[in-house]
Amino acid sequence: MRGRFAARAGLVVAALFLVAVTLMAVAPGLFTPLDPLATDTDRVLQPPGWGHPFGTDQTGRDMFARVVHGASYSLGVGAGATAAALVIGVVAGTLVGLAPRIVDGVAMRGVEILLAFPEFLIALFAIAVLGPGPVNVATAVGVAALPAYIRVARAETLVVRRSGYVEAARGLGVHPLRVAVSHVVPNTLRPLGVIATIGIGTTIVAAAGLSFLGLGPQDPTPEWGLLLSGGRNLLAQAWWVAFFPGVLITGTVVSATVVGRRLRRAGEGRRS
Amino acid sequence: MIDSRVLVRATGLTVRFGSTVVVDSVSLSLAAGECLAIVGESGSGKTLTARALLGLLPDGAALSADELLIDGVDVRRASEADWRRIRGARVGLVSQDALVSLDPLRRVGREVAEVLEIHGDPASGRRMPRAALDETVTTQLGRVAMPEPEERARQYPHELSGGLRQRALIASALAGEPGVLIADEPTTALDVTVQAQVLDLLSGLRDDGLGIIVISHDLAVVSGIADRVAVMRSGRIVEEGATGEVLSNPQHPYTRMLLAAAPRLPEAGADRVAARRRSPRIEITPGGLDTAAGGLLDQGESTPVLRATGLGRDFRRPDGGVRSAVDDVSFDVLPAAAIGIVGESGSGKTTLARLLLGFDAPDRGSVTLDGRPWSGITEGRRRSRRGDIQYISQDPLGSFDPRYTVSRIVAEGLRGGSRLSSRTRATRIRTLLDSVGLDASLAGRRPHELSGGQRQRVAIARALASEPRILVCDEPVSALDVSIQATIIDLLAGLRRDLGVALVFVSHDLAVVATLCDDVLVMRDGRVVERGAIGEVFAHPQHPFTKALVDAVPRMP
Repeated sequence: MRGRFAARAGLVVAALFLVAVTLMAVAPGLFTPLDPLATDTDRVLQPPGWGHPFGTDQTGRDMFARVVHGASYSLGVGAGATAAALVIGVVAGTLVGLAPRIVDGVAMRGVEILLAFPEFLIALFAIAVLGPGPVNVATAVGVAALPAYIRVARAETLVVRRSGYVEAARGLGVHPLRVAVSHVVPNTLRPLGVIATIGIGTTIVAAAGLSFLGLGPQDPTPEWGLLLSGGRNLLAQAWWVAFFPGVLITGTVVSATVVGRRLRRAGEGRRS
Repeated sequence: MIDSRVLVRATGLTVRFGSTVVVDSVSLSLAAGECLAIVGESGSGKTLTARALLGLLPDGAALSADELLIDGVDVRRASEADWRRIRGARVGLVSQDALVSLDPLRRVGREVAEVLEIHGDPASGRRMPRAALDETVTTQLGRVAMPEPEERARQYPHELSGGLRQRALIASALAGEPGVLIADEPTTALDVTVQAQVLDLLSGLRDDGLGIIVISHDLAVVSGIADRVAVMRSGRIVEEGATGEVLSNPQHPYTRMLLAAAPRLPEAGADRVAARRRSPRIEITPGGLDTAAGGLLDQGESTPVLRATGLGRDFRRPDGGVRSAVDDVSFDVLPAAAIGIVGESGSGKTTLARLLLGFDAPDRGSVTLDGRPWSGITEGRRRSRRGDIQYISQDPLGSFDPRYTVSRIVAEGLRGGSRLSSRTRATRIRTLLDSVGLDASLAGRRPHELSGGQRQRVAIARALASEPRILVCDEPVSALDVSIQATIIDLLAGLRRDLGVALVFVSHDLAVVATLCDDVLVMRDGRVVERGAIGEVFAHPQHPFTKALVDAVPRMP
């Protein structure tokens, strides 16, 4: 019973954290009136305290405002890239799953080659081709996540395709296209949606990682990965500059994973 | 009875989940050399009663009893450690599915030996030396009439047939020489001829002094083996007595209902019309054509709805050889006729059904539907005619999209469903649900919220939506309780009578086929070994396999 209570409490904390971060992304003004870009040379590298809960950086910008405003970049890239990967993955995976064996075989070997490389490496390749920039970071991260979605979508399609209800629809004389749209895609979408929730976390880390390397948005944009990178050289004098962006990245990823896993369990329970 | 020693005595046995009472003051006793059958439908509490006698109640179940003695030991306060000493040594368990109950990674001999290692030599309780262990394993496998026991002991469960697996499971349950064997649906997963062998084995063990409690949903199965029958319903024993007495002179209305619902084979010489009172086929044969004598072969004046000619379907075996799942099968189905296809598992019944439905293409021969080619044409050309032939499967739940509501499921079957106005569609759905005896209030439910019988009715409603000329039913009632089974069979018979829908009814259950069909094909190894009118075939079987099949059907006295 106590274990279950702890798990439930963890779930509530994670969900609240995600809600808070989402609010930061949508309406940063609710959290802080300060401008994340406003420098103040009189108040350089202030430790956390009244007025500056997260301290200030080397040009006197309020770290709390920068972290709050950074949420929209990080979440936007994470959610956008995941959504794009999900949509493209479902379409491609379903088509591959329904295609003749030879097409399926060739496509899946290609996907497996991509899966053999670490996602982050693929994202780096993509950036190398596309060049740096915030939009390109989202694209690169999405491309890196795509093979996994294609693979899962295809596997789900194969299961649904052999299911009794697809055969029943065929027996009723329903056109295959209609079967794909009304039975196959909706039933593959449910497990994929759950995976995507967990995937948002991974994507945020990957995007922050690219920014950290200086391949994403450039200073003074308040992006979490970039903030972390900016604080790296100051760790000895001003730990807070790197610490708070790091906490937000970690917290968001852990929360997304906790909520995603819970959704997956609920989904499995429903299916059996 | 060899020994009147009482092995199990329970009084006021009650099992609760929270405040819900699922087994309600059940009292039973079992003597050595006696067989007690506990009979009931799903949810009657029969399995939980058996599990209570083994200390295997699920988590959250609370047991109470005025008296619960096993082999003279009060087990009401038994700890898990106490139960471990009792299970296997004093009470053995045989469950329904041997393939699930046996460890797939362990040889059969190990399964039996494990019991001996845990409990020691049944005679002395001491550890057994290796050589004696192997010898005892062979003896135990021999005791359950396992052919070539030494060789079988070295095989894995998947290498054995269903009947041999069940024997291996019984051998492991008996290895510790328990006085009591609890068999939970021991033959339900088996073919009828194999079932007869396993029942014989159990009777033999009982005659040797074993006390047996058989749990079953099937009165006919237990009638041949049980000395006493206890009928359970909603957690209570509603009737108990000597088997012959309960079956010939049932006192409780529920027992009477169960007996009446059980489908029976027509007896030799019995009046055929009486045996098939549910399908008055003479009335519905078009033009008064009398096809009773040879409906299968008689091509008559009316075009058959469905005709199979020399159908064959081969599958490649893993060793590279070819196995004919269906071989040279020919028959006609006339409008509003009902044909049964019976056979044991692996006889090719389901493959044949899939060929008829155009789900699979034959390697040889052809199928025509309404006199026009049905096999050998493209799926695109078949699609518009699919409404004419519909399919009812054993597993209706699996045939429904889990996200769909009942009305959406049924609507998918309507021809031109998307072109109908929503009001016409709603009316049609309501009529269809009504015709299968479902309340319109169920239209908004999802399949997992329905009972087994309701699900099968929804499947039938969907099949009827396209106004088919023929329904192919593959074991449509096998997964249902007897009383529900009877209502679904009545429904199918009624549809045939009122709508003139022809039926192809695939089943392993001869009695169900006999109740519903006029003609029967008996299949074995992909071939039709016997065919003809139901009464003829079952009363005077010609082929040895048909004879064995008919003889193996458990009959009530």
